[in-house]
Amino acid sequence: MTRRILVRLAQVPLILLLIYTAAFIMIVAVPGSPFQAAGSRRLDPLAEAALRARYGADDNVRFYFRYLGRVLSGDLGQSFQYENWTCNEIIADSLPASLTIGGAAVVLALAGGLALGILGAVFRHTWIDSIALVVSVAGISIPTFVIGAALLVLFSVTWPVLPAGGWDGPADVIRPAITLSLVPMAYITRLTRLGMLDCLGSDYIRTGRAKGLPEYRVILRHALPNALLPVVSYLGPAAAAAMTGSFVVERVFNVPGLGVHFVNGVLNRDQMLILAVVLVYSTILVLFNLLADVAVQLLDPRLRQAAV
Amino acid sequence: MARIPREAPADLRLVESISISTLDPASVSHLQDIRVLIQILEGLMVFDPSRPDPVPGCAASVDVDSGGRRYRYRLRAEARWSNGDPVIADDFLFAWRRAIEPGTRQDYAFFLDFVAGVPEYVAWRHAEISRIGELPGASRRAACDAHLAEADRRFGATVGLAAPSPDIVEIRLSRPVPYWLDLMSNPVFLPLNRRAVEPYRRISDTGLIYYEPGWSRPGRMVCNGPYMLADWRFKRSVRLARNPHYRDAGPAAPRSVEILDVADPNTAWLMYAAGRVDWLPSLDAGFVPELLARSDSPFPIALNRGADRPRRDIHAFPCFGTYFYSFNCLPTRPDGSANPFHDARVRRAFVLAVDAEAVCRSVLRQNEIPAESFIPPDSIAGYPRVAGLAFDPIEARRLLAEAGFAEPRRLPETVISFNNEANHALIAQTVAAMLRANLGVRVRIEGKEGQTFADDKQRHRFHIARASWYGDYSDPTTFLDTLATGNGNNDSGYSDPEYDALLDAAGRAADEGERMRILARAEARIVTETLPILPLFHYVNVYAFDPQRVRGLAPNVRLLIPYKDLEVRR
Repeated sequence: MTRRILVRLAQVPLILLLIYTAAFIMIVAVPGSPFQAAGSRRLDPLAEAALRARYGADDNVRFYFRYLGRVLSGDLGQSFQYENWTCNEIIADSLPASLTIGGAAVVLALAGGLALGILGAVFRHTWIDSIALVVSVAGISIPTFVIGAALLVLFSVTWPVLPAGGWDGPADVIRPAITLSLVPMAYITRLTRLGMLDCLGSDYIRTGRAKGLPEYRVILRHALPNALLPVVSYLGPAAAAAMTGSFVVERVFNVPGLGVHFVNGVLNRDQMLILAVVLVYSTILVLFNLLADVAVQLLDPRLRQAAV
Repeated sequence: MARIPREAPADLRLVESISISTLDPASVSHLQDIRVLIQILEGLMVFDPSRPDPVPGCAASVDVDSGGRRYRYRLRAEARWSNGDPVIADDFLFAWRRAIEPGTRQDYAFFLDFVAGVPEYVAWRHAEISRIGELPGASRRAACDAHLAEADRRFGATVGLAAPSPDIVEIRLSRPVPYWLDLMSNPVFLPLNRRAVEPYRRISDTGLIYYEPGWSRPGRMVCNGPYMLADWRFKRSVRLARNPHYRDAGPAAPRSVEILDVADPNTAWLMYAAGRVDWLPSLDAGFVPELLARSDSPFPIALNRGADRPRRDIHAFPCFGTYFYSFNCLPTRPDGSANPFHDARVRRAFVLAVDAEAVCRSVLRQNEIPAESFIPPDSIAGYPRVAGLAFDPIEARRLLAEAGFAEPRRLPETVISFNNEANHALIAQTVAAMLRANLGVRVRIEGKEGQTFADDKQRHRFHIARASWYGDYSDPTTFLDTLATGNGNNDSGYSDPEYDALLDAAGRAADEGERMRILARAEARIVTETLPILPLFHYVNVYAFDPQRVRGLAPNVRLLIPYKDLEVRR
C-alpha cells in the first residue's frame, strides 16, 4: 500500500513536466503577442523585441528551460499583462478565494448529494426519489450564470439580506458556494443512488437483513461504503476543479478568484501567467486524484487485501 | 476565508469593469489605468474636462519660443511628493528617460519621439543592446558598463530634455508640434520620484534597463497628485486617499475614493441599484437601451432627454472614438488573388451601400451617433465638421458597375471579420445583410478570438475587418496619422501619396487655422473619395449616477475626470 502511494507520488513530477511541455507548446504556437493588446495602439517591433528579451521570452527553447528552472526554485515568473505583479503574488492573492468557495461547495455537494442519493435509493420510486431526480437534472442542466444571477437578484435586490457582489466577509461565500455546488451535487446524487441501488440488491445485504440487523445499520454500515466508491473517484477531479475557481461564478459574484486568470491569461496571451495557472491547477488536480485513489483503496476491502 | 478588515466606506465609490493592470506611467495605455493614474500623479500640464485645452498642473508657467520648438516649464514652488520631497525637474527627466528606454518602452513612448534627439538615441540604444547581446557572455559586463556610461553622456549631450535648475524643465522639439501642450497631458509625461523608483531598477548583461514590480504598490508608491495610492487589492479594488502634501484639493473634494473592480455589467448595475457604489463610469449592458428610453438626463449635451421620463440618473454622451470597418487596400488578397478593394470605387460602393443610421437605430440602440467621418464631429476645438458619404444604394451599384462588376455576384466573396466580443457579430450580420440586399454581392462574416483577430489584422490577412479608434489627444492627427503610409496602426495598408502630402503640408502650416483646414481636406479625402475605411458610428458613453448625490460630473469626450473636482453628498 505505502509502496503504491510512493510510486504514484514519484510519477507526479513527470506528469507535471508533460503538462508543462504541452501547455508551453500550445502557448508559443497560438498567434498573437502578449505585448500587443488587441485593439490598442501598436508597439514598434524593436521595442517589442526588447520587452521579450527583458522577460527572457525572446527564444522559445531558452524560455522553456529558464522558466522551468524558475518554477523549481519556487518562482512562477512575471505576468506580462499585470506587469506590476508577479505570478506568485497573483496566485497567492486569488487562490485562497477559490479554495474557500470551492471547499465550501464540495462540502455542500457531498452533504446534499449523499443525502439525496441515499434517500432516493432507499425510497426508490417514491416522491423522495423524484425530488432527488429533479435536483440532479436541474443541477446539471441549468447554467451556473442563470442560477448565480437569480441568487444575486433574489438576495440583494428583492430581499436585500446579502451584499451585492464583493469579497469582504463570510456572507460573500454563501451564494457562490451554493452555485458552484449544484453540478457536483447532481453527479454525487446520481452516483450515490445508483451505487446504493446496486448494493441494496446484492446478496450480502440480504444476508445482513436476514441476520436481523437494523435497517439503518444495513444502509449506513454495509451498503454505503461500497456505494461510495464511484463517488470518491469522482470527488478527486471534481474537488480540484471546484477549488481552482470558476470563471462564471467568479464573474457573476465578483469574487477575485483564480478562474478568471485561466480565461484572461489566454485571451491576453500572458504566457507566464498561463503557465503558472496551469501548473498550479494541474498540481492540485494530480494530488486530489492521488488522494481519491488512496481513499478508494482504503475503502474497498478487495483492493486493501490486494495491496497488503 | 481570509477576512479582509473593512475600512469605512470611501467618500466616492465607483466601478471599473476592467481590472487596473498597471500604474506605471511608462506603460499604461488602458483607460481604466489612466483614470487612476491622473489622480495620483500630476504632470506639467493636466487635462481639464471643462476646457478645450490642458491647464498647467505641476508647472506654474510655461514659455514657448524658437518658433514653437522650445518649451520651458517653471515648476510650482509648492509642488510636493506624498513623502514630503519637493517635486524637482529631475523627477520629470528621470520618468521620461525611463519611458523611452528599450525594455520599458511601450505604446505611448512615441509621443517623446518629437523631442530632439530621442529617436536617434533610442535607435542607438537598440543597436548597442543587440551588439552586446552577440558578444560572448564573459565580455558582456565590461562592454555593457562602457556602453551605459556612454549612454548617460549621449543622453545629456544629444537629447532635448534638460533641467537647467531644479525648478526648470526644458524641452527642445525637433519640429514645432502645435498640439504639444495637449500631448503633455498624456500619462507618459507624468513624473516619478527617482528616489522611490530607482531602487527597483535592474540592468541585464546586454544593457537592457527594466524595473522590478513593487515600486507602484500602496505604501511604496510616492505620488504628487491630489490623491495617493492607499490600497490596491489586485482584481478587487483600488483605494485612493487625499495626498496631504497636495496644494489645493478643495474643501468639497472626496477624502477617499474607492474604485471597485467588477467585470460583470449586471453585477455592477445591481451594486449601483443597491447603493453600494455612487457612480458607474461606463455602463454597458444589454438593458441599457431600455434604461435610456426611460431616462431624462440633466446633462447639457446629453443624448437622452425627454419629458415624462422618470430616470434622471442615466446619462449618455458622445466620446472621442469611432467604430468603423477597415478595407484591406493592398493590391492582392491574403490568398494571392487580385483584391477588388484595391480599387477605391469598390470601397466607395460598399460604403454607400451601408445605412449607418439604421445600424444605430435598430441594432445598437444606445444613442450612438451614425458616422460618416473618421473623427467624431465637434470633438476638437477649432476643427470643422467634415461631411462624408450619405447612404445611396443606387450610386453604389453604379460605382460597382463602373469598377467592372456590372454583375455584382462576380465580385469575389467578401469576408467581414471581427473579434468575438461585445455586439460585433450582430453589427457584422446587419452590415452583411445590407451589402447583399443593396449591392447584390456575396458576403460572409467570420468571428475570431481577440488576439488571433488582432494578429490577422496587423498582417493584413482580411478583406474587411472591424476596427475602432479612440483619440489620444485633442488634435485631428491622432486619428488621421493612423492612415498615413507605413504607420504601425495602418491595418488597411492604405497608401495614398496625396493624403500623405496633405498630412505633411499640415505639419508645415504657418498658422493653426490653416493647419486645421488642410487636415480637414485630408479627412474629406478619406471619407468621400478614397474610403480606406467604412465609418459606422461614433461611440457614446453612458454614466449612471444620481445628480443629487454626485455633483461636478460633466460629460467629457475623453472620459477622464479629476476626482478632486467632484462632490458626493449622502
